[in-house]
Amino acid sequence: MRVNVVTPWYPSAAHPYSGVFVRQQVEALRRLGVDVEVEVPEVFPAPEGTVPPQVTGAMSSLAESDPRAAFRRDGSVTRVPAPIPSRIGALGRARAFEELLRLRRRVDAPSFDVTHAHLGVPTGVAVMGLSEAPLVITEHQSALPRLLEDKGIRQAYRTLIERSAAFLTVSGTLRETMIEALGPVATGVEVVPNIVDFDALPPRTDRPTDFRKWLYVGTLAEHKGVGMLLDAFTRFVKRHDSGASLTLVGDGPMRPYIQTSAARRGLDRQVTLHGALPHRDVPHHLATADVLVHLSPFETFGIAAVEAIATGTPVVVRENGGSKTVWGDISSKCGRLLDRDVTADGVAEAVAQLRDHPDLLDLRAARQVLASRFSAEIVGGQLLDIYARHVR
Amino acid sequence: MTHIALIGQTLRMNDCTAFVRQTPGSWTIVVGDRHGITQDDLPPGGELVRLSSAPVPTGSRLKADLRRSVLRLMRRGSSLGRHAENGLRRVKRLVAPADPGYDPMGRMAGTANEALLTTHTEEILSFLECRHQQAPIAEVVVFDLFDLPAALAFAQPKGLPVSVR
Repeated sequence: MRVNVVTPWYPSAAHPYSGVFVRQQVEALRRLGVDVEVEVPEVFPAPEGTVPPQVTGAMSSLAESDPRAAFRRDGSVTRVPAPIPSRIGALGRARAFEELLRLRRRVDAPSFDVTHAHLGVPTGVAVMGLSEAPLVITEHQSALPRLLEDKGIRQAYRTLIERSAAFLTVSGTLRETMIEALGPVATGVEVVPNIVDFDALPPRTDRPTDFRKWLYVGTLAEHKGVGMLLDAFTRFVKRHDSGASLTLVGDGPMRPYIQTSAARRGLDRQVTLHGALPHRDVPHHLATADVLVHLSPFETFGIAAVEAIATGTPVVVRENGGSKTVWGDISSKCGRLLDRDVTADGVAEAVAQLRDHPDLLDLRAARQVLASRFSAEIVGGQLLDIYARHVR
Repeated sequence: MTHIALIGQTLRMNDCTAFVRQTPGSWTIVVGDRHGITQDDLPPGGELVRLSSAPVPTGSRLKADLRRSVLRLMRRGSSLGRHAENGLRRVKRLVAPADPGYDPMGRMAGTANEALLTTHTEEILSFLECRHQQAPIAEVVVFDLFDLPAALAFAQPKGLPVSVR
């Protein structure tokens, strides 16, 4: 079986975190014998307005004379550069992707049994009319609730659900969001979760007891709750453990704020920013931390917490949709799942409570439960079943 | 032999520097923006050349500069700045549409871009021709599609490779 995965997110040298979960899915499918090609429409930012014909003409000319120069190929991954004017909107971005993906197919037309698009808008919309092969779509963007406020985008999602062979989300919470926004048409949406690479996450042999080494893994952005994280850590240092440390792995717009604010609070020696690290380096940080603290208010899946639990590191996580449906039923074994309206004081208190009662945790049992849900074999097998149902 | 990386608008600078760092050779990076990169960002031996033109109207550039300055100010580490940014985001969320959609009126700006693009293309072309006479250029790698017309106009008649990354 040949599958064409089309995804705007896929790891590269400049963006090692982008779409790690898509790559894990691709690798799992390959291990199951599926021939997978990956196409990555890449955003090339352009000024507001129509892209000048000189630019589109030059791109067509290069594609026709030397497809590999226009659409760079690394192994089985082909990058498709698409000029995206600012303020063009998600549907405009879909049309821009479609135009360049169509150009690529004109000069280099591979055939596939299944097209698997990651994200309904823009990618699903972009590829919907490009191939006769059955279309499977996986939705996992955290911006979806906001996007679904737009009438045009709601209509696009309804069309995608009706015309695709299968429409998948990575968590129950995302499926519920779609049903709420789109109505009965979305009840056919299935849940196929992200893959957790348990082989890359060996269980730690020690057991964290003093809960003084805090870890955060993810984008350093306000919508991920990192401002509140710094506040909570500050309170923990003041009230519970003056020797505690906070390590942040990831990059983003809040990095200067965290650096400066930690220094102003006298915590610059206790707060370490590692920047964006390759995903293969993350397990080391997970295995050496005492607790992963993640306070994002919305996550479609929340992979960082799941990977921490798999490693045997307790978690303190704000209820964010993904966490509740992915591991909420075993939260007492893994750490604390906090209310959405929790305060920074409440977070510090929750970590202190864990420190006082570490014996209540059972992370080995939690890992086994997660492996039965999210291992590459389980999730890859689910995808393979879905493909097989629709291949002609 | 010189290798040229063209990135008129520096929004994909991470991609450009990651590529140049990993690719052996003597690299000259040609940028059009005033912001986004300094010589320190380049690998050892890399050369930075700044153009005076850009394919973006001056008003848009000034607006983007102002936005960057305000954000930098708000993110300097004070809680006030953080709360101000959050407040502004909430207001924007209330007043702006969830998705601005495609605006056909953008064609007006498109026309302006075309004129600016011609000037920008001419400046790049002139630089490449001049540099090629001083030290032969081996290849041109394009990180901003708005630089592609100039790259092709320079390289195709000479049979030099051009690629988009």
